[in-house]
Amino acid sequence: MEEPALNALYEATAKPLWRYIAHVCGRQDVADDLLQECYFRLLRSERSDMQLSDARPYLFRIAANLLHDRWRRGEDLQLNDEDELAIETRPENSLDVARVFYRLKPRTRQLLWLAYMEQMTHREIAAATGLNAMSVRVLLLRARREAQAMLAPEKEQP
Amino acid sequence: MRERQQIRRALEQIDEAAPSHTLPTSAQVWSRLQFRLAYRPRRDRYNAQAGTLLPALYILAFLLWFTWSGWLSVSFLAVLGSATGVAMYFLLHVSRVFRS
Repeated sequence: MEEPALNALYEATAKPLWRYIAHVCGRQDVADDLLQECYFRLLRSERSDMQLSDARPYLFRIAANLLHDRWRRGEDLQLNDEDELAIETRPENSLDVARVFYRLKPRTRQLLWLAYMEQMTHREIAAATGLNAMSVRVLLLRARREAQAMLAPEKEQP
Repeated sequence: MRERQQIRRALEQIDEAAPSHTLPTSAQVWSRLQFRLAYRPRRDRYNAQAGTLLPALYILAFLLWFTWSGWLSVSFLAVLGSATGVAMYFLLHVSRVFRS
């Protein structure tokens, strides 16, 4: 891949990819490292000359693999009540919602983010996570229920 | 539908509330990646090949020693040799797919 092609790809994908990684793992410093690792693996692969439409899901897949590696090592687990938020939020803006979100399991956060923020279909989520499309449907349903159950008490508070 | 919108709004809220973060420019990233590609450890480049080649050679050597007894073995070994080649190619392909 040549420099102009990577520049175009980076400009188009870096921000959403970074936000995805940062919100799923909950750490900005880790997101910085993993973001660079994603492009490094793309350049190193034999498929580095792919089109933007193909490269985007491929980058999300690499990011998912890197996140899974962290989960296997026991990193990025969900936060408990007494834990501080790993990704800092401005207190005046929805701290409670953020606290609820980071209390969810990383896999749940991942599915919710891809479905609702990246607007991916079940098939695209399956490609980006390595899961079966049918499993995505079921897991996403559970994730939605889990999120609603956690969000509901927050909404009821005065 | 309303519940989905609620989740989406919550996620947007979280995203907006996160502190601003400056990503490196594409030129900086290109420079760093080129450096990493150029100076990555030599073992990283040939891990998959070496990891596949050594077991394949070991198996071939073992079969050579184990089946060496006359003309039947020669044809058998020819088949085994080609099968090993195909297996190596397949393993290399699989390792490339899984590496990224």
